[in-house]
Amino acid sequence: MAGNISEFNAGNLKLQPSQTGEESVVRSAYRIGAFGRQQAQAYDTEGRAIGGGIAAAGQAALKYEDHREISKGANDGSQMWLGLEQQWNNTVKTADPNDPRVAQRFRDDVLEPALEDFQDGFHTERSQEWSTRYVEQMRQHFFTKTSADMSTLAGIATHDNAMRTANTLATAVYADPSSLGTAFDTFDHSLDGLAGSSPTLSAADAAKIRETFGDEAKKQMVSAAVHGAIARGGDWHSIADNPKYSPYINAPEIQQFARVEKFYQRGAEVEAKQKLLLDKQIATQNMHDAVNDSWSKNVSVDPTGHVVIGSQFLRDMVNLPVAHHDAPDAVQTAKTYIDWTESQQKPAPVSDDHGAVDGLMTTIADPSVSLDQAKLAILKADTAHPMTARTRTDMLQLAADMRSVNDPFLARDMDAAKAIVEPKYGGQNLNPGGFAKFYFDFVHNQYLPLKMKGTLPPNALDMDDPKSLISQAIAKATPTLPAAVSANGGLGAPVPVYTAPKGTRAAPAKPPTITDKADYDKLAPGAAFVDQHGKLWTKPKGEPAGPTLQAGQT
Amino acid sequence: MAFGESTVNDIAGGVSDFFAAFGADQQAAATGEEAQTYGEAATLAQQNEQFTAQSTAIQEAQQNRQITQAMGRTTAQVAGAGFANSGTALSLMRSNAEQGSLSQAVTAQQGLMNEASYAEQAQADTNMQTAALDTEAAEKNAATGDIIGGVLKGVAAIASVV
Repeated sequence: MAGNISEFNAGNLKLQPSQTGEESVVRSAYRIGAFGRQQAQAYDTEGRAIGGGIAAAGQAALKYEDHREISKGANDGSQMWLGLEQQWNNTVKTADPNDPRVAQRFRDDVLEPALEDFQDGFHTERSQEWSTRYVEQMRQHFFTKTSADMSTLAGIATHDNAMRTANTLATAVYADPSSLGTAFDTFDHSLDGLAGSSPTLSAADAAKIRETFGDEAKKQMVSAAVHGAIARGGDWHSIADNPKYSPYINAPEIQQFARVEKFYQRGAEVEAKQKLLLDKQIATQNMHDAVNDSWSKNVSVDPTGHVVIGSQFLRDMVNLPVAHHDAPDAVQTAKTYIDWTESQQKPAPVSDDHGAVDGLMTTIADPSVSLDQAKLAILKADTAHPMTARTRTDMLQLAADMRSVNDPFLARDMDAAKAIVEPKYGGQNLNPGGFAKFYFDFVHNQYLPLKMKGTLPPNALDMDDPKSLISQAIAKATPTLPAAVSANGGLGAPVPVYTAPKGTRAAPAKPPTITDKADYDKLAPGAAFVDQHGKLWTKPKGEPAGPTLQAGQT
Repeated sequence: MAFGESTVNDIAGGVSDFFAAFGADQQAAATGEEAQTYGEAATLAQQNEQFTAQSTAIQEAQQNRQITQAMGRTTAQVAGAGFANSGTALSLMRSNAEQGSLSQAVTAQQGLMNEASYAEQAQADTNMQTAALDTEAAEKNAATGDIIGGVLKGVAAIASVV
């Protein structure tokens, strides 16, 4: 029966889709998007933070590097500047001032490479800007300096060239004062050319040279012309009064010219006198040369000691005043030699007149007497008081020797030695002729040979030293008692009454040794003295001149 | 070529831009994932639409049944008066079976749908967690970057004083 089957009704079935998943997914999508943006923001923030840190650190490093490079650059730049200055100065020293390429070459070959190398050392913007300004300053400085220096050099060169021209023209007008006008024109033309043609001379310097040096040079030429006229005895007033030249002469210079004129006039007079004197001296010397020449050719001494005189000698002497008429002493000299020649015709004496011979010693030893004059004196003495040939020969030789000695000590010591070698007793010479022999022997055979060799002992003339050369020579020449007796007639000869010798010459006192100013001041003017080193000096006769070292002393 | 402020700024800007680019890349990836997730949501919506269609169909079927049942009751009422309908018991049984099956199926389907929705919710939450963790890492990097930036600035400050 169908009526009892229950009916199952499922009801109003429906599926209820859940929105949960969809909504969750949508929310997650939204959140994922938001998270993505948040992540992007975080990374962006991180990047900004790191970037900011990098920027800050980079700025600090940049500032440090800027400061370091600029500091180093300042030091390097100053040294480079100094080096370039020195290089330029060295370049200028040897440069041709008229070469316009000197400065440009220096700038191109030296300056610019140095500046370029300098700039290469900078790597930051700021340091490069600094170096660029620094380099530009240097470039400007050296451009100005090189141009100015070259212009200065050119100015100096132009000045020097103009000066040389002016000097040459001044020399010319000095020689020919009438050419002064031409010299002026020549100089103006030269100066214009020098100043105008220099490629490195600035216009200002050229104008300055024309203005200042032109007047200076013309002044010099006018002065030279006036001096030239004065020197030649010409009319310098015509130059000084000429309106063209008078602007270059001032009043003090006029006075100076007048003084110069007087000086030249006096100088001409003195010159004339000096010429006359010189002519006489030359003529006298020529005369003596002729006499000596004739003597050497015509006069000799034979083995017996007899003088042999050729006839030509007499003829030469007779002709002497004629041949040398301008020599003042020609006549007197000729007479002396002629008289002497005649005297030689007499028999030769067997002994000398010792007094005459002694009288010759002073003349022979006097260094102011020439050899020719000494020779004449000897021959005159021989004529008046004939000597033996030996003595005459020795005296002539001694005269020649003494002109080679030139030692004041020797003359002084000889005076002292005379009293020892030729002692006198009661007015009687105990060793007649001994001094002359001693004099000749000591000077000719001992003193002069050693002096010529350079081996003369320092104490050779020390008479206080018994071992000195002169002391030993004196000792040998001093007569012994028998010799003295024999020389005066031997034993039994009448002994003259002793009379006190007059004015016995004592041995000259040894010069005092002076070691301080007080002792020096006490010395008489002209007195000799010895210093603490043993050197012999002479106090001058007039102060404030200082003492003079005596001849032969060093 | 000089090393100057522009160079430093360019380097710093480059680093910043690099990080910004990385961030933009991350954002693009996130945006892509967002889009994909929206797509999934759309898919879910479509599924729900289908479920709704299914539900509508079921409801229509039930309405039709109810209408049919109403007609049948009438018929049955008529038949009850003496009419035999041999097919009514079987139809009821069959109808009951159908209803039962339908009810079970709908229940099961509903359960699965609920389960799926919660699973999707869980997955969505997991995705958000992952995105949040990624964001945390990014923000930690940002903090590190701040530290690095701060250290660099500190060094720069000291250097400027010294």
